[in-house]
Amino acid sequence: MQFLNHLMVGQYIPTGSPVHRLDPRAKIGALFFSLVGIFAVRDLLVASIWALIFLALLRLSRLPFWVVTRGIRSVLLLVVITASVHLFFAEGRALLEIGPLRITDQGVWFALLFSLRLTLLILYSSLLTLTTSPFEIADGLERMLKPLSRVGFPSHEVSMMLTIALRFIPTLMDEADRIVKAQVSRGARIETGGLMGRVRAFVPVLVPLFFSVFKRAEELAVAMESRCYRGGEGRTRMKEMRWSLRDSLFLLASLSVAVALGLWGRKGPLAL
Amino acid sequence: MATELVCSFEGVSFRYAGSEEDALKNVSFSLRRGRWLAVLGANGSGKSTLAKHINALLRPTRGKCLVLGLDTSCGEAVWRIRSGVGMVFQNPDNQIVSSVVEEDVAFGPENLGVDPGEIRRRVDEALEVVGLKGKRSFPTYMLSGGEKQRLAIAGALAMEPQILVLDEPTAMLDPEGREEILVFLSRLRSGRDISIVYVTHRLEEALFADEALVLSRGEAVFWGSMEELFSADWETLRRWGVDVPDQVRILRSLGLPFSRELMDPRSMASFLWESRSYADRAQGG
Amino acid sequence: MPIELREVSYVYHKGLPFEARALDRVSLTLSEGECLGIAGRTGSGKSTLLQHLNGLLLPQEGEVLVDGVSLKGASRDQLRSIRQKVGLVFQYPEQQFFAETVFEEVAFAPRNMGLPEGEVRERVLWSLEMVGLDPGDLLDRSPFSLSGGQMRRVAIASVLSMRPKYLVLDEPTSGLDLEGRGRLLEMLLRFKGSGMGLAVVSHDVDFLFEACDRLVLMSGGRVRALGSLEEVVEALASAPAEGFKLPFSTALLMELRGLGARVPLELRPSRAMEAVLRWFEGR
Repeated sequence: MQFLNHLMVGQYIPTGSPVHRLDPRAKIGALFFSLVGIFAVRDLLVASIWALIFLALLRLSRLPFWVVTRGIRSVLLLVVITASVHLFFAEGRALLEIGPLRITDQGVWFALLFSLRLTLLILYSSLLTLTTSPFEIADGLERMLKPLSRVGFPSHEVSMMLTIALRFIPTLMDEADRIVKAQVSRGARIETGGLMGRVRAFVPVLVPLFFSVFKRAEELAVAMESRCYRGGEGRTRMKEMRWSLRDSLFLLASLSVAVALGLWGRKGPLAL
Repeated sequence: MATELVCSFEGVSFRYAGSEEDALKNVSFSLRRGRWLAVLGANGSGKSTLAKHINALLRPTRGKCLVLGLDTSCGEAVWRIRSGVGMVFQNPDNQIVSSVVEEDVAFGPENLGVDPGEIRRRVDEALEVVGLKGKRSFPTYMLSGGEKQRLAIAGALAMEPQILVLDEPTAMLDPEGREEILVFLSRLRSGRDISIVYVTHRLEEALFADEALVLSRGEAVFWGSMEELFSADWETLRRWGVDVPDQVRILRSLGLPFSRELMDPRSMASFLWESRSYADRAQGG
Repeated sequence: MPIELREVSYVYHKGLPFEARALDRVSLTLSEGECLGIAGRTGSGKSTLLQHLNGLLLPQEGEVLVDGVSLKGASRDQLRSIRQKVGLVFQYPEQQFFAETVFEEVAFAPRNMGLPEGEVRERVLWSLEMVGLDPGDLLDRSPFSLSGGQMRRVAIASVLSMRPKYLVLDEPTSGLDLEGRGRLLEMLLRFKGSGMGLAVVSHDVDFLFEACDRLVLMSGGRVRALGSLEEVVEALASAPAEGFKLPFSTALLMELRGLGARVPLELRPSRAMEAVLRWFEGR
């Protein structure tokens, strides 16, 4: 499991758990329901239940706990900003006044609620990418969108683009890093200067990167053609997606939970 | 008892669009089933151009190219040819389509519409042959250069080709990666009748081959057995841009026959020492 | 004044579960007018070491001194001036091209130094000549339209135009064939002759032995051997370093000497080969 060393947030960690083996379409669907449900969260108890469900799923997926901390750390800035906005600019009874800024009771409440919601959204989304390989996600999406191809929507092409883009993200990140280093070594100033200065400074990084990306695309296309790629017609899949009872149950369960929590939350004891 | 021809070039010339000179000039040669051909020459000699003709990525401007009995210029034959010719390119990264090892190997057979169960079997076998079975679920970007190239080879092998073409596969690898590829290739050869075309400018990588084709500025200046190539004088080889390793150069300069056993310093030293002592004794009387 | 590394250590991802020690108490010097070769397998710490030479990375432990100035605590301006003194040519340097003309590409570095246009132009012409190119044809051409060999040389020129005291090259032989390597060797000897201190990281031991005066062998982030070619060969004879092989001709000559042959001690592969041939033919 040494490759875990270099994981980005939400990168696929294959553990072979039952969650991993679920049909990606079921997981995508379940995520969709969960996201809607989380958006409707309005009280702490419901939020905690969502959090508990997340932890249970994490356990079921046999994922290590530090994916949570890493996940939270990556969006900490966003959460803090969101929380601050709510903290200082809400209405309600003032608890504390620091100059023009007021911290109200509602402000505290909203800050807490929105931070929790945002965090839950991120964590649930990462559950999908942690338990489903990018290929599977792209594949699942493609199959779900397939009916649209009958009206001309290029679902296979979109899915292939997604797969290839995901595959190249780490490679291109490494390359961008190398290019930045090379230009800095020639005296380029990347971090300083006003807005225009910084935009201009990005030319020596973006241009080589673009060239490289085009070159890669060309070589990849040649390699794909050499392996008889001709578009989606007639392609089979090694990993067959067999929708099983388990997938239906999972999807149904997630729908029910989302609906139940959504409804209860509105009338629950600690609701707003 | 002649084995069948899997590939033959008849007076093939090729010019890239917008270019003023032919990249290939009247090249002719043929390859039999189960044989390993090394294509040698300097950068820009036309080696890659030639390799791309074998799987019909390029078609001759003049002349004819027959692969597995099919004419590469014939439109309909192209996909049949490509399913019989596996190709591995120089840049390890720009051949990998998927984020997961085994999924990338499956790409080729999936394109051919092979049955899922059969794809699984081919992928398992290909991974076993290249020695990546243990890393089947790994993210592809975590592989080393040598592993990425082995992955590319597995992807080609999964299509069960009759010809495997490798276009400077070790050019962007470090010595360890290079070693991995060469060791693997020599293992692949034994016990299979797959034909291999190996493009390189380094003679020491071609030592395993049966035959050699040397290109210089688009022309085929040599086509024969590996032994015959080694009996050419090294000045000529150098002029052709063939990177002759010191081991071979020393033997050739001394007029000694090439021998694979003498390729490490210790063996060659003993050999030279013995030969010289013998010569001394013979002279001294 | 030489570049000095004193007991430098560097760990990637420090504190996280997957931290990796890339350099472990490395000490070495690089002086002007010499060529230092850095050998070792992938993962031995070579590229981390390189990035310490021009301040792209700062040592976590130990010190790096360039021209007497320590990198630790150096201001941004000081770091910038260090990067003008120590030029770093990355592997496949042509991948950093972004300008419309060769002139603009090579002028990028001196312009970043704030030099007047007249001086910039002089330096562009000088660097192109130093890498063996005729500026006349190339100045107005797009760097992307050149041949592979020309691109490589323009890329080196684009670092050279800073007129650095030291030039550090990462795997400069990558992608070069026999002829390309020969030209690179000539170029490096020319640079050395003009007083520059050179550091070359390479897998190609034949090239290192041909071009360098001193060698550093890296393994697992540590220095395993350091010294002149002779010193390193001797050190390896008693304690062979894992994953490091001497160039064939050099090793052959050493084996012959070991058997009692009367061959002069020549460590550069080309000279070693000549010596062996001469000996065999009884000359």
